[in-house]
Amino acid sequence: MKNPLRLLTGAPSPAARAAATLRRDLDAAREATAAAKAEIGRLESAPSDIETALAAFDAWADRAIQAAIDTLPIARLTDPRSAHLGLDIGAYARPGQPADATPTAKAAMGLAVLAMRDRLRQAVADQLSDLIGDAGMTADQRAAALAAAHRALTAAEAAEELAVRDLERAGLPVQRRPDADPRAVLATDQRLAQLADAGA
Amino acid sequence: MSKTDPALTYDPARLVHLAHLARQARARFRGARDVAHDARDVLQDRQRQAGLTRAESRPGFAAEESAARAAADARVEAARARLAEAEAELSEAHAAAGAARALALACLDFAERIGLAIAETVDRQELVE
Repeated sequence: MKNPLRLLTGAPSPAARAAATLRRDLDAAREATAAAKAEIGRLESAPSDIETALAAFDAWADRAIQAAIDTLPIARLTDPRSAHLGLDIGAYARPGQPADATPTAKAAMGLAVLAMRDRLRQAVADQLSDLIGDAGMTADQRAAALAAAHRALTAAEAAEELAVRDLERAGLPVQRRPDADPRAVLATDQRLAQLADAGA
Repeated sequence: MSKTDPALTYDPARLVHLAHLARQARARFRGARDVAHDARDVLQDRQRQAGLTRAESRPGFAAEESAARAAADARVEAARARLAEAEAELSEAHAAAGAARALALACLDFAERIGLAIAETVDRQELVE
């Protein structure tokens, strides 16, 4: 039987308090899930360290130089009929289409890199140093941080699913996120608790 | 019955539950759609009646007709408010049904990918429709 005094005082019933607690648990779990996803996004876009960035520069420079050399009509120099044309590269154009100067520009860039790679690399390194200083991450650091963030996300998703199931068992209306992790949603209760505890 | 995975343990009954929730959400959406449809009909009917009331003005009966017009307008406003409620519920039910279906299908895809035994428990076609 309901306590009539509660009606007069406006105090919430034990059931209402329990429901509010369950809702708070779900809200907290969802906030943890959102935070873990945000952290993963932050880590994925966090700047690399200078060494990693310069490795990317070196890989690009190698490709640009190789592509430029491949573009040069070197065999033309051996043909007495066309040797006078030298290594000029014409803009490529399909019949009826405007000329595409992109290959020529790429070749010019590759040749420029070939001629002054060390100076360009140093200039890039100086710029990177001003830009990111010591704040960048190595590939290993990023992988480790992402692994930890994914573990936190798995635990948060498990805690969220636990909270949803608690609400369902209490007969309270609740909706799962459409992008909830199926690994959590389909997990057994026991496994779900293990996953949630792993992040605690 | 559950299938053990090196990393996780899953329960096909969870998928059945999700499919059930998706069916419930769809039924709620369809019910809300019917209610909104009825509310639109009621509003149109009352707007028509209010128009007739205004058209039937007779000399010498201004007071009675003013009251009749006010009553008709009040009925229109009540119907408009009811329609707004019904459309809000319809919008919410539509979103809930879409979310429940998306999650059920995502979990069904996942279950099939990991080889969870779900073939006879959940009808994909029913979820998609």
